[in-house]
Amino acid sequence: MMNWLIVFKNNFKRGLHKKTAFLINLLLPIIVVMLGIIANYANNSVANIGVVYSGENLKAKTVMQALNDTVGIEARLANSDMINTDVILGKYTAVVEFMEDSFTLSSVKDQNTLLHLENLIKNYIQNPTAVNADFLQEHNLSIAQRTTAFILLFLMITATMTASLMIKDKNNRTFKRFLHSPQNAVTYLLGNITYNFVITYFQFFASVSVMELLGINLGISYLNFLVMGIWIATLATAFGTCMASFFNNEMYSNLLSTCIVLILSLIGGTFIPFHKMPTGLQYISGISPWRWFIRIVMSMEQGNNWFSNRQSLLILTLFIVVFSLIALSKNRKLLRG
Amino acid sequence: MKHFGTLFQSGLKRRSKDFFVLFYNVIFPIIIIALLGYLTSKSYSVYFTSYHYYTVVMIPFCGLMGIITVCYAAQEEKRFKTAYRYITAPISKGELVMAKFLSCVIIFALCSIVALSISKMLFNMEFNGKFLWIVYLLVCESVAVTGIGLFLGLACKRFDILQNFLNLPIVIFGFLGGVFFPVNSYQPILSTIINLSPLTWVNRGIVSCIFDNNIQILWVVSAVFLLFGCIATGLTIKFFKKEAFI
Repeated sequence: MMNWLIVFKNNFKRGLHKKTAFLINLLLPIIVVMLGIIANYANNSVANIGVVYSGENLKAKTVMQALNDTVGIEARLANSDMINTDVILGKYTAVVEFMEDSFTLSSVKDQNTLLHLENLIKNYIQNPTAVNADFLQEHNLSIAQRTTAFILLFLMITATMTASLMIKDKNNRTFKRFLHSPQNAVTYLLGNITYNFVITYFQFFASVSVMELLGINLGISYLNFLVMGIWIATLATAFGTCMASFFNNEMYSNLLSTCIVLILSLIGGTFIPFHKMPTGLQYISGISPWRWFIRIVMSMEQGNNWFSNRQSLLILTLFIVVFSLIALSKNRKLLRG
Repeated sequence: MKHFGTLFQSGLKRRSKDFFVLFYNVIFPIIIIALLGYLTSKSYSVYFTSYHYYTVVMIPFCGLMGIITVCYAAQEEKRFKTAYRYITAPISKGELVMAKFLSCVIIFALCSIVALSISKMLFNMEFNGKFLWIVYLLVCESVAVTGIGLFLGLACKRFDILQNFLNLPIVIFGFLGGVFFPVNSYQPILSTIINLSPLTWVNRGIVSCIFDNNIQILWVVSAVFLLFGCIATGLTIKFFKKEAFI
């Protein structure tokens, strides 16, 4: 009756055999959560403007002061030898180089932003009183959205690694022995999925609990986070099991899952928010679970609970069912030989 | 030397026919450049487009991901169950390691160069006459990636523990190096963390070389890569035991 429990317990023993790896695997998500928080600070909404001038250029100094007085802008002296590098790699939104009577603007931003910035500087040369500079404000993901997206990205990769026990079973012929025993694919799969789910949920629980202990307020209640973790862990487990079912080589499974997860997270809005995407890609992003998780997190940030956004919840559940069915059908085929 | 030649040729053939190596180092970067470029196209100018940005940052990142492939390539004798043949064969450790090292360096460097050339054509990327400098950096990166990969795969006894976690630090390095979106901070702690990523310096080296005509960073980064690659390979030859294949 409870044969899946034997597979589950056996996987635990195998995991604990390599204690260091087991421990690293459990505690790595905490680093990822910290990374998500760092990402939000590093990708902040303040626009950094570099200023370059030589000698005692009063005009440049006045404009720099006015820029510093403007809400959402920080002006700094830039290195004149690295203007393009600093602008391209995001150290500065733009660099203003002052000459005797004129100035040049270097930036890789879109034409509209550049035009607004040019007018702002011209305006500050005439009248150095700080004005509104909303056009430079970038509306990025909130800390809760970014952290959720990062945890999901990470857990989908680690769940594939955890599921690689199934690949080891295939290579060590354990799977073949299972084939000869009076068991079925569901028992084998259930044991593996339960083990993977427990590990993945613990990883999620550890990372969320560390945030709670550190007093980091993400605008979502701890309980809502824990409930969301059930869907995140189930989806990651289903995806990991599905990937492991397709390959006989751990490297292929790990690399391909990283590749798929990265692409899905990109089109789902992990790095670039949904509203900033081109229209065509906004439609395609529907195939990414990230899009629906971020949508529910947005709803929870407005005070709703996890179950309020039923449409997104249903779509996420559908993803889980599809991944699980693919894994089940693939393993059934294998068991039939 | 006779053994080295045979092993080198066999390694070269195997690597060049490995669909995963070609996919992960040529096709994958181009897909990601196209995808991220399209995603962020609204935010960039017409002179320096989002496609140009991701060409610069994505190819070195995928090159660094090669460490995982090298790790597994190092232990392929284990996978092909030919370990005992190598143990009994009169092949020196140096020949074995160097054959793997050179075949991997050549294929990985070629893959990066092909990806760079395709991106140059597809996205009209201007290198301002510095294309060969970038190629040089990518070759140096392949040396470091192969050296470190072989060390982890052949000489590091705890590889089993490491192999599962390798893609995570690389993705973290990529994120800190601005591979997914430009990352920067003026806070001392965050700035130090960002500077810890090798990709921060690789990207800085490439961009300053192409767009600011400054090859100083690129030189230093290339030299560090070569040094790391050589030290790691030397250590692999010293500590590698053929029994690691079993």
